[in-house]
Amino acid sequence: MADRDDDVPATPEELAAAARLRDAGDPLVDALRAAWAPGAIDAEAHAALLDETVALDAEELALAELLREELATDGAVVALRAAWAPAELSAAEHDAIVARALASRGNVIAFPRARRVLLGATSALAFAASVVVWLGNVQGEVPLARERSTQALFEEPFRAGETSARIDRIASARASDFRDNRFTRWGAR
Amino acid sequence: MNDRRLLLLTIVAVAVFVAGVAVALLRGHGPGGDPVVDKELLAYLSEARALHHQANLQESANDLPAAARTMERLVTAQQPHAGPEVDEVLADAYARLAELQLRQDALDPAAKAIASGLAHAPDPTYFRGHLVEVEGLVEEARATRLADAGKLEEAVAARTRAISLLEEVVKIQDHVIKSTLDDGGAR
Repeated sequence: MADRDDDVPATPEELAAAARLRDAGDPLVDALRAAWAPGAIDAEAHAALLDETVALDAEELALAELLREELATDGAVVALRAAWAPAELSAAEHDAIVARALASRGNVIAFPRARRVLLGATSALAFAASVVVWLGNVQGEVPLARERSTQALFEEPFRAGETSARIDRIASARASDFRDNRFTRWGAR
Repeated sequence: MNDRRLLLLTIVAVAVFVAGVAVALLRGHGPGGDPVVDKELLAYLSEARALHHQANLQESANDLPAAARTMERLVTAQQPHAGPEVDEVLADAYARLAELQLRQDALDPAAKAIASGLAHAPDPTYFRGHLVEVEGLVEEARATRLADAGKLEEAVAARTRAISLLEEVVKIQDHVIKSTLDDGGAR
């Protein structure tokens, strides 16, 4: 091959051939260029790429619509949706629920007469018991033992060496008071 | 009588019953007056009783310092609340502490214990009488000690204080006995 002189301008044929080569593109060259120096993709190319990727055919779209409709009325799905993102009931739904509840009233089992009599008797007894308790409170006031001097527990001046006997008597007497107070509070007086 | 009336009657009866029981439970908790004898007071008395009997055992073993320490535990123990019983238990514990210290010839600590005890027994009672009696014994012992040390003048002063204190004891006990008789011996 003869040496090429770089100073010699390209001929029109050479330029045309170079342009054809550039415009024709080469997937390998494009991939290498994108990997080496990725550039921004224009909006149209991007949209086209997306359409190409996610495009569904008519059958798929029909199936998706069918699934959506099924899920909208499925009880489990409705319950899950209500739990995850509860929404207000529509007036129609609310009315329907109330209507169902009122309609079920016809299923109430009638209270048997014997049970009504039993309820009446129990009520009367409870009322009588409450009156008795109430009257007992009003008429039978029993004061609680209060803290007070223990002087009255001793009949003579103290003698040396008897201190523990005195505390024995004091503790015993107040333990008795304490028990009395508990009985009084329980209404056992 | 229909169901609604029965239900109403039941509700009223239950309400009255609950109110009656509540009144019964709360009865005696009205305002005013000394606190009622409660479990806190009982616990304190039990603690005091245990410590006194512990001191008894220590005294029986002639370990007077230990017995005195036990009484010091009692007078510094946590108290439930102010009240006549607590004051009287403290007054008696201070009297016993003073007696134990007197038996160990620790006259100043004994006098100090007496002073603390008297603060808990300001009125003429057996408790105050007993404290003043022990105080008189302390001064009597002090008079003897001073006389033995040749401090005759100070010994005379201590003896005079002892006589005065023991005379006060007589007055207090007379007062208590007279009050008891005036009450017809009511307990």
